[in-house]
Amino acid sequence: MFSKRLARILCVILFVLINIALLSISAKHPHRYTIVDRVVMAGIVPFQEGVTRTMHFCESMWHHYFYLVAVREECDRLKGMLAGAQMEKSRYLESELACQRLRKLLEMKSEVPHRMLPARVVGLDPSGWFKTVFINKGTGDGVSNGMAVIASGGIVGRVIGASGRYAKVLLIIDRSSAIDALVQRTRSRGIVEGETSESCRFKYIVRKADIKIEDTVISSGLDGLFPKGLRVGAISEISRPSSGLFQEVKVRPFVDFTRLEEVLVILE
Amino acid sequence: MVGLSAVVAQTTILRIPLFHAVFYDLLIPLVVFLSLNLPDKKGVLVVLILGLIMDLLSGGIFGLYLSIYFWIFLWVKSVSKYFDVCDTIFQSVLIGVCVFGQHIIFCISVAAPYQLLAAQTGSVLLQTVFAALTGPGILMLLGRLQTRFETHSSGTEREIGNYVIR
Repeated sequence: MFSKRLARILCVILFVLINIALLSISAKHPHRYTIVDRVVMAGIVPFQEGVTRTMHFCESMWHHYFYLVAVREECDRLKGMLAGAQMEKSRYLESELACQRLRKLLEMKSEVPHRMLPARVVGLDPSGWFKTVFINKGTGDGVSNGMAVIASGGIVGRVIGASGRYAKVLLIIDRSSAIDALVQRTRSRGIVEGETSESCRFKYIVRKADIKIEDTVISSGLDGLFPKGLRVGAISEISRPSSGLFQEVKVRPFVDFTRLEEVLVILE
Repeated sequence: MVGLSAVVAQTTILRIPLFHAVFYDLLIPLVVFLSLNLPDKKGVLVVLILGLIMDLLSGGIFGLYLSIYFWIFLWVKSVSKYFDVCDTIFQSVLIGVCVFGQHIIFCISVAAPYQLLAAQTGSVLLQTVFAALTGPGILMLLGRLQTRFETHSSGTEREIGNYVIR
């Protein structure tokens, strides 16, 4: 009755309709968890898990061991960067400290009404018994014998020899150095002589002179070397012997000679 | 060259507070070495030049280093006639005595008061002991330098000689 071709077409249409009907039923009940699902899950997922774990293991191996070569390189690079940064930090710190010192010198320069020349300490005396330093300014820069040298704290010493580019400065703590000075508060006069690295002797202070510990000693300007009013040091010790005309006084210089780096030479 | 290097080191690195108390005048072992190994005229000339340089750099009385080095040179020369100069203990004592003697002369030259003496005593003793301990080593080092220099010089002369012959 029906030809074979017609029967095949009808079959296809029937299957399509059945398929649509089943999809419609399934769409009405989404996420249904059947026993088939469980069986499939129980059978497949362990393999999935195994494969995934193996993949993670391999990935982990790569990242933690083989990739360490790259990490090492990165580490070396970062260490280099860190060292560079530390060097730079040190340089900045040094610059800042130099800036502070120079600022103090500049303040000093503006306080003292004389023409001054900044210089750097480049060498020290070869023996511990004599106290001299070398500065990097000489006759070519206008420096000559007898010129006063000061730092931010106060008087450093005087020039005792100069070549074209360098000069030798006798510090006030040297035994052969002497400055005509006076106590700022009471105007008592005396001579400050070098004694040890930490202190000077303030000689010829009469017994009746009113002086106290921590009184400031300044240059009197009468020696013709140091301008009047430059700070020398503070009185650190006073003793009045039972006999004699004078008191025995010690002065602690304001300048720290162990850390002397920059100085000013008074050119006039 | 060795002397000049020692002079520069002494006026820069070795004067910082860290080394100041321990390091002695490094030219003393050099003067002792020159006295023991160089002919009189040549040795005296080098010693006087070194003394002159040190005097120019120092704030002390001019001629102090010159005199000290000169007398050390002569003293070591005369003492070496009676003792075995290769003996380490002898060298050690010799350099220790020289360093101590130099400090005594400095002390007299500055007419050091009690306070300065008290401040310097520890440093002087430490330097003397350090000089006695390290002095023989410096002498040995200088001896090796001299040997190497002489070998190099004689080798160069031989090469020059061969060149001329050819």
